[in-house]
Amino acid sequence: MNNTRKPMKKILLSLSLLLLTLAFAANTMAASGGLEQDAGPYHVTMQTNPENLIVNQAGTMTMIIKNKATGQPVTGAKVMMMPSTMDSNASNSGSMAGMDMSSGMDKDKQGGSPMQEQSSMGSMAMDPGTYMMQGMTFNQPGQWNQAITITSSLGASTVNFPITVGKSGPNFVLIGSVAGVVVIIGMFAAFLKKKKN
Amino acid sequence: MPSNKQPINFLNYPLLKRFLKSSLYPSIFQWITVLVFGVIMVETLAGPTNVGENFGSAATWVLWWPLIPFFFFLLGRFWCGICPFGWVSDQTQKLFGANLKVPNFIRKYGLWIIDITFILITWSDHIWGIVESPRGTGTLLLLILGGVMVSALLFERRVWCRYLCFLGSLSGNYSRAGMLELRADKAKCKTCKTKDCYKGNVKSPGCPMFEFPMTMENNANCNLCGNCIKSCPNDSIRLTPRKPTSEFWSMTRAHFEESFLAIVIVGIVFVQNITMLDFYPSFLKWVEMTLGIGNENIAFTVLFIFAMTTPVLLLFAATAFAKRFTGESLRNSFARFGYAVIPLDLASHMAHNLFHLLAEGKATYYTFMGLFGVHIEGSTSFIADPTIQIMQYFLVIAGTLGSLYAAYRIAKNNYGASKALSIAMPYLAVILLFGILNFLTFTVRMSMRM
Repeated sequence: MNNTRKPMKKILLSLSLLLLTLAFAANTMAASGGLEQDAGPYHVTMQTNPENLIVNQAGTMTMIIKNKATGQPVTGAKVMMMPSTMDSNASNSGSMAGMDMSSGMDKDKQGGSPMQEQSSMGSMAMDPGTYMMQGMTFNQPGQWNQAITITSSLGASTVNFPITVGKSGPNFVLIGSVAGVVVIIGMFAAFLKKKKN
Repeated sequence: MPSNKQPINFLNYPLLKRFLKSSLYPSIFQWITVLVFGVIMVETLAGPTNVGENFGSAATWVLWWPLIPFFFFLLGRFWCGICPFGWVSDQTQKLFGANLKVPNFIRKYGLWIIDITFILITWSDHIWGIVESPRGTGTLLLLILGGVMVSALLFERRVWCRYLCFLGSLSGNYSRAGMLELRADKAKCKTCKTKDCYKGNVKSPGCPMFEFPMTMENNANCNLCGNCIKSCPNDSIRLTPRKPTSEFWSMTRAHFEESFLAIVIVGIVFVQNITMLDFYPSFLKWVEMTLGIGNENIAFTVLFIFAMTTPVLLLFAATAFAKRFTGESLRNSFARFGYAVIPLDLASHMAHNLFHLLAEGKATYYTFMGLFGVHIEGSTSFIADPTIQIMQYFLVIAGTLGSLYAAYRIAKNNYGASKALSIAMPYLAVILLFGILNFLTFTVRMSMRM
């Protein structure tokens, strides 16, 4: 009896580990990817975490700013995140009522908020020229436009990035994982039941 | 044994008895809860992410969670008898269950698993936001559902409800203070040869909670499912009202882990209260600055550990003082007197959630109408804040008095009237301190959930 149980235990363990790995992989992948643009003397890469921003869920925007000519990181720049606007076909065009930055930053006269230069995040070192805004939330799904003004010794320039804010759907990885575990245990239970009878 | 005589047995009312013996009970209630639970699951997992628009969140945290302690007080663990998870467990087991015996590990350490789970869930709520996030609520419910199904697939009866459900343990503790009890007539049971209440018969399955009504001396594991009422061939079961909190001083077996949960709940309720007060963010900031932490989650964790351990240590200190008179081991006395804080736990839980129920209750209706595309805006409160506050004061005072009285009666019943006050005194001081602290938290306005 023990001999038949051992392989079953191994299978269950392997499948559970596989599911957990998939769940973590899905989260990790969500943080990757980015958009790149040139603006004046700058080459800017923008990333969001999660990659697909979800309505009413706080996200982080990261900008990596480099000198377009030399490829060197631009450090010590003043990077302002301007109020986000929705695309013209959206109902509240031009309004920024649907976007909030809860990182506690002081806003300037135009309503912009400074992005903080980051050298590290937790124990992870960041590339030089990395600027970050945490706690961004959008309360409406749709296509948004995010303007960023960069001022440094190279000059001032503004770059615009499109941001798609999606509706928050179900977490299928979680649901699938729970369902998967239940199905596997169910198969195991059926096997035990059959054996018992 | 004149004190064991109960003047009223609700099962003497023919209509009620007929209903409880019929197949309608508890299924008629279960069908309603299963239906509502289904909507809540779909809403929290796939509905609006804004808590103020999500019916699942509103129904769970503004309606069900505040009402549940009142249920426990009035009807014991009746909720557990009609809980949708229990229904899922029964159906899963019926169709696919392997019906294995409960492992000794779960029997022995189930309550500790619950204690730890309960603490972790409370901590997670503050770190990741379960209550304020519909998806967080959905995740919690989904994980519970998964746990229920897995335990039902493998083991016999309701292992989850008896040994693993964190709410079951909370409800077990709270219903000990309750006003209703189901017990068996021991004289009749002594002559019984079949033990159908435990084993089950053609009329009904055996007790899903592994209880044998004849030996049952507390409410903790009776979910009033009615199986024993249906299956007992001798009409031995009684359903009687009783003096609230009387169970604490009449029990003969005290369990350390149950007392531990009771005292931990003091800390949990205190954390719940304090984190919803208007000054909490600045207080947390102050903790961060003072301890030089620079991370609010770590600062909260420090506060949380402090809030969990302080009541436990205080009760241990009281037990150490009382030991001079009791001569008992710390563990035994702690176990015996830990139950005394349950009335205060229950009252504080009720008082805290009364605010959510009465100040935000209409959100349940608004979000329910939202399911049909009807958008309603307006005040969510039923009554004015000062009135709610007075009710909260009343509850906390009543709970404190209930706990003080329970501690005194535990001392009196176990060590005699002459030593009762000396032994109870340290416990009375600690309970009074808990009561005052709880009272003070209700003098400050709480934040809304929705």
